[in-house]
Amino acid sequence: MIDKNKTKELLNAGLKATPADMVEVGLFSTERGTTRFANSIIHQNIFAENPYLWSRVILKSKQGMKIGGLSTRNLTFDGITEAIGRAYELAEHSTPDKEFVSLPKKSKTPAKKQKEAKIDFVTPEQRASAVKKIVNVCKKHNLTAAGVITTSRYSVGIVNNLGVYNYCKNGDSYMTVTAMSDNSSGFALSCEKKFSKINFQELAEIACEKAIISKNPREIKPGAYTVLLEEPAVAELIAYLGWVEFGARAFAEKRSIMSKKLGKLITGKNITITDDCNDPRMIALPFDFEGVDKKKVPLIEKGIAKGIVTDSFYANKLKMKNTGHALPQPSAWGPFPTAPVMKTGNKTKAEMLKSIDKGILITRFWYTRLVDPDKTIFTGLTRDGTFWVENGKIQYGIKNLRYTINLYETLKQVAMIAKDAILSGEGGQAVVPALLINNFNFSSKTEY
Amino acid sequence: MDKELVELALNTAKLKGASYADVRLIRKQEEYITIKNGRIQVLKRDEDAGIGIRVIFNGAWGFAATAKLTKADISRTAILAVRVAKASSTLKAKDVLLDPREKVVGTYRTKVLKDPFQISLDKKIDLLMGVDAIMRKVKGVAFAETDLSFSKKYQIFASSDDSYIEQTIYQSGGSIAATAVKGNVTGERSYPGMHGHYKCAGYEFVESQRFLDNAERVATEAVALINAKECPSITTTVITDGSMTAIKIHETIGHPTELDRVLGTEVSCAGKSHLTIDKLHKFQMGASHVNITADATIEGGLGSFGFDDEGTPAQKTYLIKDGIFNGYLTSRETAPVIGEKSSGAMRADSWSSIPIIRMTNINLLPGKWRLEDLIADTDDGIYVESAGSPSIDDMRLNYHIASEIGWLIKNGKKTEMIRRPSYAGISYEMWRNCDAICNENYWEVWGVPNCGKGDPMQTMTVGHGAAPARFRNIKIGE
Repeated sequence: MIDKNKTKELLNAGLKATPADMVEVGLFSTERGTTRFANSIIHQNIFAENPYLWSRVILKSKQGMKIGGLSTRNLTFDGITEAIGRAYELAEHSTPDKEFVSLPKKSKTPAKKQKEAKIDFVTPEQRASAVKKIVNVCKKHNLTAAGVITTSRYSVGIVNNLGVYNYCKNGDSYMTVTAMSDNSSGFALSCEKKFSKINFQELAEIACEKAIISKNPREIKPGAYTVLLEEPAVAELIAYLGWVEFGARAFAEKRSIMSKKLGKLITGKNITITDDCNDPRMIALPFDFEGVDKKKVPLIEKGIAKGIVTDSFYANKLKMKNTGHALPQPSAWGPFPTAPVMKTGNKTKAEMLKSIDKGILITRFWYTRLVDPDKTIFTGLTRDGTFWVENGKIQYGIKNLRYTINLYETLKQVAMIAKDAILSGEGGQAVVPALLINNFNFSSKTEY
Repeated sequence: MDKELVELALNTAKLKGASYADVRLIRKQEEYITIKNGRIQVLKRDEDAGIGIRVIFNGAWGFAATAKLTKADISRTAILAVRVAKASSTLKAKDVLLDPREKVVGTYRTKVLKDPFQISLDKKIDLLMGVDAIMRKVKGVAFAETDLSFSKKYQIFASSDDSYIEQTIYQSGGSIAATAVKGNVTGERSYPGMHGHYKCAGYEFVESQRFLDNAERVATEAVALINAKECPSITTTVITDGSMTAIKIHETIGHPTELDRVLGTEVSCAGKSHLTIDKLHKFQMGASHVNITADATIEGGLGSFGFDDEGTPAQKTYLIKDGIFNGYLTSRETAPVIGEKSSGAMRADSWSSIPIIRMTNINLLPGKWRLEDLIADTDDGIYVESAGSPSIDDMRLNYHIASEIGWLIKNGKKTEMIRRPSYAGISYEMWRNCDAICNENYWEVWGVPNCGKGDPMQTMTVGHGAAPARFRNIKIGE
């Protein structure tokens, strides 16, 4: 991992390497260890250090700005100078962009003094030891263990010649466990800032309990059911909603429901979602890939479409404030929320379960995809722990189902929200509580 | 110099006790151009280089990778790979065994007529701007989006069994798309294929796609989709164009024949497979005329290469033969489990990723039909083009595929246009109900540039030879 001083030195070398009118240089340096296990053994175990330096070079012309981008992993001074020189050449060949106004300028608000965090290096031996704890729990229940433990630490620095500079160092640990019997499985996951915060045995026990209860799953007919979605399932839906609906690009192009119904009621009044990188449960960068501090952005407030996230380009285009949600530039994608947090309710999960007369408990979704963007219709499947609930109790495991839902309509059907929320999700993560939802539509079934 | 670095990595790993080691040193350049409504959104080059070192120590795997290509850093990384393997060995059932083989020495280079990195940026930008202008001239088009991308990867593979391979692989391709918006309805149309078409080839492939010639049609269809009918919810006959057939092959044949899934090592992430070993050579996966190969030896597919990332030479094998499930995509470690040698399907998306079993070019062999005859032979059904979003369960049985556009077929003729038709069902039932495949004149190796698998997720480029095909009794509009 590259420390603050070295990062600054490399970024400044980039800035000095070109006579361009505007230049931005970023450096994202990661160290990631991943230990994968299956059939109760470690079968893949890797460590990779991967620095990535990118630059955006901008030349002014009478017709507009000409922009070129480049990335390299050669972090020698010569390597950086050559790379940024080639970005300059690309900019020279580009056609003028009349819509691009400027790179972000230095904030008038003084930057928060951030103490450089010490992020522990998690060794392969520590990860292997944690896998053993998981495997031992699964063996105790005559189940096999599969999953992953990933530990990362990374530093990000971004600078531009208009005075923007930001740097941070961070780290996270992520684990999943899938406990397997011959015809059932159970799943649990955890994301924490610190490796030591993960209780591997406890999560393995949760996964095992699910696998045991769901042995010999029964078949139920597709249709509309009351469902209790656990956090990984909720996180998947909220992350997808964020990608499709809460970014400035879809808003500017009037492709999102948000663009058509801002200020109007779009979900149940019990739904509030905010993008907040400073939520203590969230693990997210405090600034975006243009070096702009991330703002707290209400997306849906008490069911009302409240706001979207922007970057410098879309903030200028839409005459809105820059919320600091840019991706590495240049990019064809607009900004996305990176730290969605859903407001909690007042029920425990046990109370929510107890309230179900007949319904389904869902642990995890799989292969969620947008079918119809005009109607925000998504499809996907249940996986690794799907249960029939009756008279407030889990009765037995059921074969997996395909859901096909209008997500906004589904969020009007949320009957109860758990009082605790956790960081969850695979791919896209969100701080979410469990949800009890009525009339959740399943369109077909699987054979297992 | 690179050869010296690779040897250093191997020697260091062996010195530290590795019983086997292989090394991939990669230098790669990529170029991206994206234009939207006359504005260049992306004009960018990526330059990438690094080394990945994979070892077996005490019967277990370890892998470490670095972008720092100095002797000191490579030695340090090789030592770390052994340390990682040592940690793995604390939780193993038995020692890793690889299929036995002689050393492999060779070179491979993609056949390229026009090196895309030697074609001027102006020419590429002019092409996309020309397409953009044609599409935006069509009344009702709100957005025109076009892109081109190119890559050139030079890779050395070397292993402790004295194998040494150098490969240079080019990929080129692009897409054009138009979107019409009216009120709450959008019409989206893209070309070619599934949001673009990509091959292991040079700039000549881009020229062969005739983007300018297709721009007006794409834009016109996008606008027409605004007023097109919604897809009816019925069970009917579906004819899929080649690109749509390709995505079916990908999701329902390619993934479930990956042997690592079957052996359970992807169970927590990508999932398992219904094509278990007891079904090999017995299970009827499709109709008797359905033949599907894994073929890395053909020219130009995104899964074409000389050697996989374990150094196994490119091969052609049958996954489905005369409709029967016939084989798997395998690696040197997994193939011996079924008494075979590797089929050469181990691929990594980067020097920083470990090779895992991936598709190469998974090809549905052509049939005998002409598309015109196939439609004329269909009394009632739907013809669909251009896959949108696929979704399938983690055993690869229950699939759902959305598309951009379709046309109802009535009495042997394409009639009304349908917006975003989707269809769904159980994978083997669909292939058993495949009653016709178009001939080699309609056959094309489609490129899928974004196949995801692994943890951390690896994005692989794979190919699918396919032609339009007809499937009976398919649920649409779900």
